[in-house]
Amino acid sequence: MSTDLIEIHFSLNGERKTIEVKPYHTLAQVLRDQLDLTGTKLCCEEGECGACTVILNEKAVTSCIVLAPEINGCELKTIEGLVQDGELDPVQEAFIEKGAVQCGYCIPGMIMSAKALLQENNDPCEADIREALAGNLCRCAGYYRIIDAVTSAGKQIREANAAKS
Amino acid sequence: MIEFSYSEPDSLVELLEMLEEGGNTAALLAGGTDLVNHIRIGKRTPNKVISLKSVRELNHELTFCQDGITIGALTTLSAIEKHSVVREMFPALAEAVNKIGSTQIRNKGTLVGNLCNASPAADAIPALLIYNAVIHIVSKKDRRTVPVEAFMKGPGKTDLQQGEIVESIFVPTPPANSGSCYLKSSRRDGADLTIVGAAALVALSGEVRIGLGAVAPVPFRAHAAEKMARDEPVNLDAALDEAVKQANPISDLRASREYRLAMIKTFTRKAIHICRERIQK
Repeated sequence: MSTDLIEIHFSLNGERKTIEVKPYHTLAQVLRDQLDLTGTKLCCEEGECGACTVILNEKAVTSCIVLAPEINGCELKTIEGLVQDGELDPVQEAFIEKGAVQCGYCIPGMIMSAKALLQENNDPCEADIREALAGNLCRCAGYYRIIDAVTSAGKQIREANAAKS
Repeated sequence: MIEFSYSEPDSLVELLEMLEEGGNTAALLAGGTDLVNHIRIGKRTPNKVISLKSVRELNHELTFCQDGITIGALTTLSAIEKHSVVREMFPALAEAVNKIGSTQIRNKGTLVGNLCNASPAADAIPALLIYNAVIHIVSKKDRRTVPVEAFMKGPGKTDLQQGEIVESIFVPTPPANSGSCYLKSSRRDGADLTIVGAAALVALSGEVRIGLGAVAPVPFRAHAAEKMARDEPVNLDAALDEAVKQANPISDLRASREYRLAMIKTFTRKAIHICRERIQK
């Protein structure tokens, strides 16, 4: 059995990365401990709470149950990758605007789940939002404002798209 | 987490070779949503994890033919629930898959993985049961197919032998003029385990199929109830009593045995009514 380091190549927030990982480390561990990207939070460590949600190949996944070598060849986006040219993402803006943040621990995961949803469907109904966020737990129970924020972010994105075209 | 090695074979031959070599110290990784948790809690202690991800013969896609759909070993639950053909022709499967875990889990987890994990409460299995799905199994020496009903052997136990993997699941097209559906009883709507899972299919010919999950060591087809529901469609209550007789649920933190037994009737009746409505459409 070889538990030597494995070299992986992937795209991280738009930049190409080559790093070496332990085969038995999770993606969340690598992000936080190896790459110092501590915006991704760890909590339940069993894929239940959603705090560690990242976007892998355009899909929201819980990074605590992804093995690090699995991301070889993948495109990965973390909460740190949302800021563009110093500007917050519309989803981040909407969370602030709507007061959707209390203690804040679940918020990076909430935002990544919301971002993945809005990339696929920028006009979700409330049921779509609830379904997309069902795997993200907020122990402050700030759900209503979070749903408001995602609705509002969708509207912002649609308006920005309309202005561009 | 314990230490293990990781390999990513790129062909089936190489994969099966590795699996044979690794014996019971090797673990197969598809979506990993169960495996990684099982390793973390010590339920499984592999010293070699073999990823299926790059095996070129294993499909990430769904394929269709006149006779049905084939779901590959790497087809994610999300890909299945969102597929228009699945939603239209196999609504019970789309509904059951949509009830598994959360969006994040469904984006990573596979249907074949869900099947091989063999949870008594697996949502997709009652749906696969009512569609008479068959499991395609491959090993270094052989290929064989097993009906889904014979594949499940007990909690966490399947018909898979050492050195075998599930290559795909074939789901035959349901009978003409039929309706099907899956209903789940759980404490909350999203990301919760099932108290009772009821899948049903009703055809204009009178045929009724009932698949139940989370009420016995393995999900099962309620054959006696199906026959009664077919012969005496007005006396559904008596048929549902037969389904209850076949069940043997546990009491746990989600629900008592008694509650589960009562909910079998409630949910199966509701599922059959929805099926009947769907035939007319």
